[in-house]
Amino acid sequence: MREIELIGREAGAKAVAGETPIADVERLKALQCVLAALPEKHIPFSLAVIVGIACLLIASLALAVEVPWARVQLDLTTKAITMRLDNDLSWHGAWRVDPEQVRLENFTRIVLPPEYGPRSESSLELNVQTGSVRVDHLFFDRGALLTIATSESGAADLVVSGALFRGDMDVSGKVNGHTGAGLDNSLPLEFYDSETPPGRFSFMYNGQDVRGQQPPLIHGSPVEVLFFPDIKVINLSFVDERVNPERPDQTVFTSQITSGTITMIDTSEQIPVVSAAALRLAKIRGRVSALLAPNKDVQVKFEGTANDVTLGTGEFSRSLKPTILEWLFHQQKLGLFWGALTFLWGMTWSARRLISGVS
Amino acid sequence: MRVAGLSALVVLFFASGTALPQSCPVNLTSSDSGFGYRHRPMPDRCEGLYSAPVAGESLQLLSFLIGHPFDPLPDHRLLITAPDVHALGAQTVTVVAHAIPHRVYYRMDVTVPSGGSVQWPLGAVVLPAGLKPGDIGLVGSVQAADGSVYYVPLGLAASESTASRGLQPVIIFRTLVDSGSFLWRLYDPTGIATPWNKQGQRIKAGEPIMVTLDSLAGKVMALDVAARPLDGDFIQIRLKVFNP
Repeated sequence: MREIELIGREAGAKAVAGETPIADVERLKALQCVLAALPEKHIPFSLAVIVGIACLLIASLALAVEVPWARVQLDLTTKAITMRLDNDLSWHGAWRVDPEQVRLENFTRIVLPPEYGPRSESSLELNVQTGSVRVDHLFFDRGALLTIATSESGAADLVVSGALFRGDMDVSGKVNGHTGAGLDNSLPLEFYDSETPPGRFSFMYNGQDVRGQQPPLIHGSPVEVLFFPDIKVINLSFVDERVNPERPDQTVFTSQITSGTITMIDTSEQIPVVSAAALRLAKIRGRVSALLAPNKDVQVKFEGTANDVTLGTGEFSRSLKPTILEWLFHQQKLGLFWGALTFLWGMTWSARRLISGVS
Repeated sequence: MRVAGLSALVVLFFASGTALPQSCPVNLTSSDSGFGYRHRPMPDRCEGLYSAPVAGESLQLLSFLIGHPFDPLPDHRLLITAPDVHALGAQTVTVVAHAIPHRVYYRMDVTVPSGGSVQWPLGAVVLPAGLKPGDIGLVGSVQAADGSVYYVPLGLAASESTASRGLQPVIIFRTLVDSGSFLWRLYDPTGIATPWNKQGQRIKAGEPIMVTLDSLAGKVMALDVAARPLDGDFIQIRLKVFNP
C-alpha cells in the first residue's frame, strides 16, 4: 500500500512537471494486480470461540464469586451485644442506676470509700435508701470483650473479660451493703448526706481471665441513658449463651436481636431484620455506637467491613455479601470512569484520523 | 550516574532527622502558629500550642509542684526535677505541662528519669508565644505495673543550687463548671479517712484552685477532691500521691 502511495505521488509530480510517467503508471497497475490477488485477512473461528468462552467464564465467575470484604451498616435493637474492642475506651459521665439494687461481681479489687476503713473486696451488693448510685467513669483496655445485656425486668449487665477494666461509682444516701463471694458479709451502715461528697467505690479487673471463673460484671437497672458514641471494634455478635433447660449439658446460642435493618453499603441493599434473626458477622472491623436506655433494649449502630455477613441458620442461611458482578453493577463511579475513558479514547482516535487523513 | 545521584538524594532525604517526625504521646490538632504542638529536640519532648480543646474530666489536676518556682535565669531555662520513684517500681516520671488559664491550649510532654532532672527551655515556645511561665502547671505521674497511676510532686528551679527544698507541695485544680464549693482530704489509704476540708466560696469555671499539701508523709497517700457544681451533683476524683 505504501509503495502504491509513493509511486502515485511521484507520478503526479512528474505529470505536473510536464513529464509522462509511463513507467510509474505500469508499475502502479502491476502493484494493484498483486494487491487484488492477495487473500483477505480472516480472524480464525477457533480464536473467536476461545475468546467467547473466556468472556463467559469471567462473567460466570463474577456472577458466582462474592467480594472478599463487604461494607455493612447495622441499625439494630438487641437485648445483648458483645464486642471485642480494637482500642481502649475511656468513658466519663453520669450513668444513674436504680439505687435499690446494684451489684459489682468478680472484680480483682473493689476499693470501698475510706469511711469503711482500708478494705477491698471482689464482689459488692448495695441497697441505697433516699439517695443515688451513679457510675462516673469506665475504662476498658484494648482487647476487652464487652457485653451489654438487658433483661425482661429492665436490669442491665455490663460484663467484661480479656483486658483491664476499671471504673468508679459514687453513692449517696443511706447505704446498706454486702460483700464477699456469696455477698453474705454485711457492711456497716453508712450515710452520705447531700452536703458531703458521695462515697466512691472504685472497681478494677486486671484482665487476667481464670478458667472456670465468672468474668466481672456490673448489674443494675438504668434510670439514665448510658451511651458509648464511638467504639472501635474487631468482633461483634448479638447472641446470648443459655443452658438448654431440657438438656442441661447443652448450651444454646440464641440471637438477641429484636428488630433493625442491615444495609449493604456497596449495593445500597437494605435488609430488614426480624426478632431473633440469626445474624453472623465474621472478621469485622469498624465502629459501633451503643445506647442503653432505661427499660429498653440496646440500640446499636455499626459501620464497617466484614468478611462474612450471613443471615439465617442451616439451609435457610444466606450470605448478604454481594457478588463481584453485583458489586461492579453498583459501582457508578467505576462505570463512569470506564465510560469516560472509552469516550475520550474514541474521540482522540477519530481526531487523529481526521487530522492525519488515515483511513 | 543519574540513577545513582537520585538514589543518593533519596537516602539523604530519609537519613536527615527532620524528615522523620517523632511521634507524640497525644494526638492534638497543632496550632497554625510556628509554636504548634510537635516533637522538639534538646531535651526530647513534645511541646507547643494546639487549636482544639481536648475532652476531659469536669475536675482537672493542673499542677503539682514544690514551692513557687517560676523565676527563670536570663537564658530562660528551668530545671524540672523528678523525685526518686524506684519505690513504686518505676524508672521514669511522665511530666505533662498545661496552661493554667482556661482555654489557653498549651501542652508539653517530657519524660524525666527517676531522681533526675531535665532542662526546660522557655525560649522555645512559652515566652515567644506570649505565655507567662507562672501560668504553666506541671504534673508528674508514674504508672505502676498494676496499672495504678501515682502522682508525684515535681521540683522546678532555675538551677540545682536554687532548688526549692523544704517547701510544701502545692497542687492546683480547676473545674469546668461554676461550682458552689470545693472539698478535699488527704489520708493514708491504709487508715481511716480524715474529714473533708472545705472551701465554701463560689468558684468560676476554669478558675485555678490551689491546695497546699502539708502532710505528705513519705509514702503513698490518697487525695480525694470534690466540687459541687451550682446546678448539679458532686463531681469528684481520687488521686494516689507519693512524695518520697
